[in-house]
Amino acid sequence: MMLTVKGKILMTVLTVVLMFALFILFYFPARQEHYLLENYNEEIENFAKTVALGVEIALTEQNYDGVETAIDFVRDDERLVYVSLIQTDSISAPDGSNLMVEKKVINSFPEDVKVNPNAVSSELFIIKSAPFSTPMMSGEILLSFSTEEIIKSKKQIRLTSLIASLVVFIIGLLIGYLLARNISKPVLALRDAANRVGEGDLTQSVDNKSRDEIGQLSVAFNKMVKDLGIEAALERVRTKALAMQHSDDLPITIASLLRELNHIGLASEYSGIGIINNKRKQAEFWTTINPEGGQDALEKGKISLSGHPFLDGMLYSWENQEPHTYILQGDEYHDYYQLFESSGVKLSRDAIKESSSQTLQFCYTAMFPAGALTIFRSKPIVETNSHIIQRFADVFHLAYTRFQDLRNSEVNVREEMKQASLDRVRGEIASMRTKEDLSEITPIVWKELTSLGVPFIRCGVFIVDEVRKSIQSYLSKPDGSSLGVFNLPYNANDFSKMMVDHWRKGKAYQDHWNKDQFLKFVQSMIKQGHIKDEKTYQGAASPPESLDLHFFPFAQGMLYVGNTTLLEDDDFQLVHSLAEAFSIAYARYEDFTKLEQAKNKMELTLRELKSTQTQLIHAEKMASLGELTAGIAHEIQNPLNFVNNFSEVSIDLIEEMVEEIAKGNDGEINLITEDLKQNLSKINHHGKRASSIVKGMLEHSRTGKRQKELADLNVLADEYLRLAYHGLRAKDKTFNADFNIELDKDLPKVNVISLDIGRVLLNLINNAFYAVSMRAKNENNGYIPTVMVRTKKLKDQVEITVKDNADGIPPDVLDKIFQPFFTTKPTGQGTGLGLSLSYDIITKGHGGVLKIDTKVGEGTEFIIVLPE
Amino acid sequence: MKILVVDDEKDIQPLFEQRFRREIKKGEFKFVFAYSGEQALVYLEKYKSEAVLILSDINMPGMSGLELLENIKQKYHRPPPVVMMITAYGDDDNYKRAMALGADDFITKPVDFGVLKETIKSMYE
Repeated sequence: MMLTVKGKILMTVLTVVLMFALFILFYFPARQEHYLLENYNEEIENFAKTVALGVEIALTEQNYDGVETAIDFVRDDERLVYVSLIQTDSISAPDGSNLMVEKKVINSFPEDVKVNPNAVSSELFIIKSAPFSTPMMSGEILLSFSTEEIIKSKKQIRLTSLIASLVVFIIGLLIGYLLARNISKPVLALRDAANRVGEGDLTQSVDNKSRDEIGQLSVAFNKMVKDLGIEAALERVRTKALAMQHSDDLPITIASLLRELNHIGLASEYSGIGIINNKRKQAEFWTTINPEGGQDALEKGKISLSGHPFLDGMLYSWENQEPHTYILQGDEYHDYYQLFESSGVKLSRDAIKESSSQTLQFCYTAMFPAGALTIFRSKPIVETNSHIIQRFADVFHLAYTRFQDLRNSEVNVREEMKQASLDRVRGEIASMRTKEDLSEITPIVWKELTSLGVPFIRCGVFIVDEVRKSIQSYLSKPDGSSLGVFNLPYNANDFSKMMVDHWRKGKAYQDHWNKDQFLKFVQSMIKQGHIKDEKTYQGAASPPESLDLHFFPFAQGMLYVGNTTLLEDDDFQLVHSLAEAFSIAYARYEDFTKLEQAKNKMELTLRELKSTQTQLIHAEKMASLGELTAGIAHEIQNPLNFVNNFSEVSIDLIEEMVEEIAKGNDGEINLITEDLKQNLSKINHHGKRASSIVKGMLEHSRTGKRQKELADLNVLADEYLRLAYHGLRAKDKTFNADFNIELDKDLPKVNVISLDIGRVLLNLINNAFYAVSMRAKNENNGYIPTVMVRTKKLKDQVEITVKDNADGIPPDVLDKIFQPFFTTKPTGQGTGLGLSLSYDIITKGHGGVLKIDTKVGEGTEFIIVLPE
Repeated sequence: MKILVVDDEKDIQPLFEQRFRREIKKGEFKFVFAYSGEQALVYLEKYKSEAVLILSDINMPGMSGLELLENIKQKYHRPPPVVMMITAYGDDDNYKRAMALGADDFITKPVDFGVLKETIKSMYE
C-alpha cells in the first residue's frame, strides 16, 4: 500500500499515540491496581501484626480485655470481614516423627462468622495472619478484609485511564495531523513544483519561510530552479543562435536573448547588445524596452562610445574584457539619454523615463570579444547573479561568431553570385551579334538585378550615341520583359539632357519621381512621339506611387535602376559593378563587327601567308635549283667537251689508222686501236657522267610524291659537292675555295629520298662555301677556304659531315639557325628556309639527327646522322 | 717545247696526248700535266723555266687558274712564261681579270684544238 508523506507521518504519530493511549489504558491501571492491592495487603498485614502484638501483650499480661482492645483496632473498620484469634498447637504426628500444627479458632469477630483458620486470600477477600506467641499460648491473628473498596477503586482507575487515554489519543491525533500537514505541505509543494519543473515549467518557486530542513530544501530548490531557468534561457538563446541560417537572423537571436534576460528578471527595465568598433569608438547596438515584442520591437542604432563617463568606462572595460558596472544618476543620467537620442533609436526618452520612474539606473555590462551586453535596472543586482550577465554575453559571443561566419560565407556566396551574374551579363551581351539581339538587353539586366538581390521595380539601359546625338533607350516592362528600343535625342527633354550631362562626366545620377512626375514625363514622351501610348512605356498605365531613379554611367551609356526607395550603398556598388560588366560586354558587342572584319582580314592574310610560304618554299627550291643550274651546265659541259673531243680525236685516229693500214704499219695500227678503245671508253664514261647529271637535275626539279629508296650516300655526297662548287663558281667568278671529300668505302646504302638528302647536302655545302668565301674576302694572309665532306659508317647509323673553316656561328645566331626565314645573308640572297627545310627533312622525313658543332673563329661542322 | 697543262679534269691528259699526237710524235710539243694550281706551282718550282707555255683552266678547286696566273706572272719574269687561260665560262669578267693579270691568251671551252695548235705554233715561230 502506497502511503503519502502525510499518511506516513499521520500513521507514525497515530501509532505512537495509540501506543501511549494503550499504555494509559492498560498498563497504567494494571500497575495502579497492583500497587493498590499491594498497599492494601501491606496495610492489612500491618493491621494483623498490630493486632497480634496487642493480643500478645494482652495475653502476656493475661488481660483478656486487652485482647478485645487489640481487636478493637480493626473492629470498626468497614472493610473488615472478620478478625479471628487462632491458637496453634504443635502436636506430634501419630507416627511421632513429625510435628503437626493444629489450628483452632479461639475467638472471632463478628462472632457469627465461620472462620477457616487455613483460609487464604481470594479475589473478594484479603486474608492476612500475624503470629503471636505468649507463654500461655501461641497463635495467630487472622484478618480478612473485603476487597470491595479495591474493586471500586480499580473501576475508578480504569475509567480514569480510559478518559485519559482518549484525551491523549485525540490530542495525539490532532498533533499528528497538524504535524503531518505541516511537514507534508511544503514537501508536496516541492513535489508539485519539481513535477512542473520536470514538465519544463521553470517559473516555479516554493514559498516556505521556515528555517528547518524543508525550508532549506525549498531555498535550495528555488535556487536550483532558477539556475535551471537560467540554463534553459541560455540554452534557448544558444539554440536560436545555432538555428541562425542567415546573417539577417541575428536580430532574432538578440530579441530572444533580451527576452530571456527579462524573463529571468535580470533586465528589470531594458537591455541592449552593442558591437563595438574600437577604431571609431562607436557601437552599433540593438535594444528594446519591450523584450516581449521580439524582433519587431528591437531597435537598432549607433552610439559614440566617448563623451560620457558611463560609455568611456564601458569602452575601457571592454578593451580589458572586464565586466563593467555603473550607476547612472543625476545629470549623468540626463546626459546619457540625451546622447542616446542621437543614436537614431526611436526608443523615446519618455518611454525610458516611464520605465524608470526615478533618474537612477544601475547599469551592468558584460563583455564579449566583439562587444558588450548591458542591462539597465532600477535596483542593484544581487551579487550572486552578476555572473549570469556574463554567461549571456558569452552565449551571445557564440551567436555573434556564428553570425560573422554566416555573414562571411554570405559575402562569399554573394560575391560568387555577383561574379557569376556579371559573367553571365558579359557572356550574354558579348554573344549578341545583331540589333535584334540587343532587345534582350533589358531582360538580361532584369534577370541579373534579380539574382544579385538588388531591390528594383524598373530597369533599363541607355546607350549614348555621340555621332547621332541620341540615346538608344532599352527599357523594361514592369514584368521584366523588354519594351523594345526607342531613340531619345540629346535635347528631347531635361531628362535626356541631364542624362547626357552626367554620362559625359562619368557621374551617377539619381532622381525621385512621384506619380505625377512620372506621368508628366510619359506624356511629354508621347507628345514628342518617342513612345506610342502609355502602355508602351514602363507600365505607365499603372504608374508607381514613388520612384527613385538611379543611373549608373558606363563607357557607352547609363544603366538605369528604378526602385520604390533609394538603393543602399551595397546595392549601389553592385549595380555599379553590373554597369561595368555590361560596359565591357557591350564594348565587345560593338567591337564584334570590327572583330569579325578583322578576323576575316586576318584569315585572308593567313591564307596569303600560307600561299606565300608555299611560294617561298618553292622559291627556296628554285633558288637551290638555280644555284645548281650553273654548276650543272658546267658539269655537263665538261663531259660533253670530252665526248666531243674524244670522238673528234677518234675520227682523226681512224683516218690515221686507214693511212697506216695502207702502209701496213701494224705496230702503229695496234697503238691507234688501243687509243681508240680508250677513247671510246672515255666517251662512254663522260656520256654517262653527263646523263647522270641530267638525271639528277630532273630529279631535283621533279615534284610530287617521292619514294624512299636505297641510295649510296657516297655518290650523293660527291655529286652534290661538285654541283655546289661549280654552281657557286658559275655564279660568282671570284669565288674560289678548296674542297675535299673523304668517303667511307664501307658505307652501306641507306633508305632515303635521295633528292631530299641531296637538297640538304646542297644546302649545307652551299652554306659552307658561302661562309668560307665570306671569310676569304675579309682575310688574305694565308687563309685557305676549305670545305670538307665526309661520310662515315657508325653502328646502325651513317654520318655525313659538312665541315668548313669559316668564322663559326655565334651563339645568338646558333639559337635561331633552324628557324624558318632566318638568314644571315644580305636581303634577297637567301630565303632563310634552307636550314629549316633541311632540319625537317633529316628529322621528320628520315628520323635522323642534324647537329651543329661550331667554334667561333675556327669553323662549323654540320653533322647528319641517318639510321641505317 | 714543253707545255704545262693545268686542269682538275684528269682526262684532259689523254685528250691532249691524242689531240697533239702528231706533234708529240714529231717531238714538237712535250706535255706535262698538273691537276691543280698548287701542283702546277710545285712543278714550276721544280723545273724552273722548263715549261714555256702554260695552259690553265680557271675553275679549279683550291687555287684557281687566275690565282695561278697571278703567281706565275709575279714569280717568273725571265723568261716570262706564256700563260693561256682556258675556261668554260668565257665571260667578260673572267677575260678582263685574266688579261689584267697578264694572260697571254684566253680560250673558251669547248677548245678548238686546230686553232689552239695554230696559236701555239705561231707563238714559237
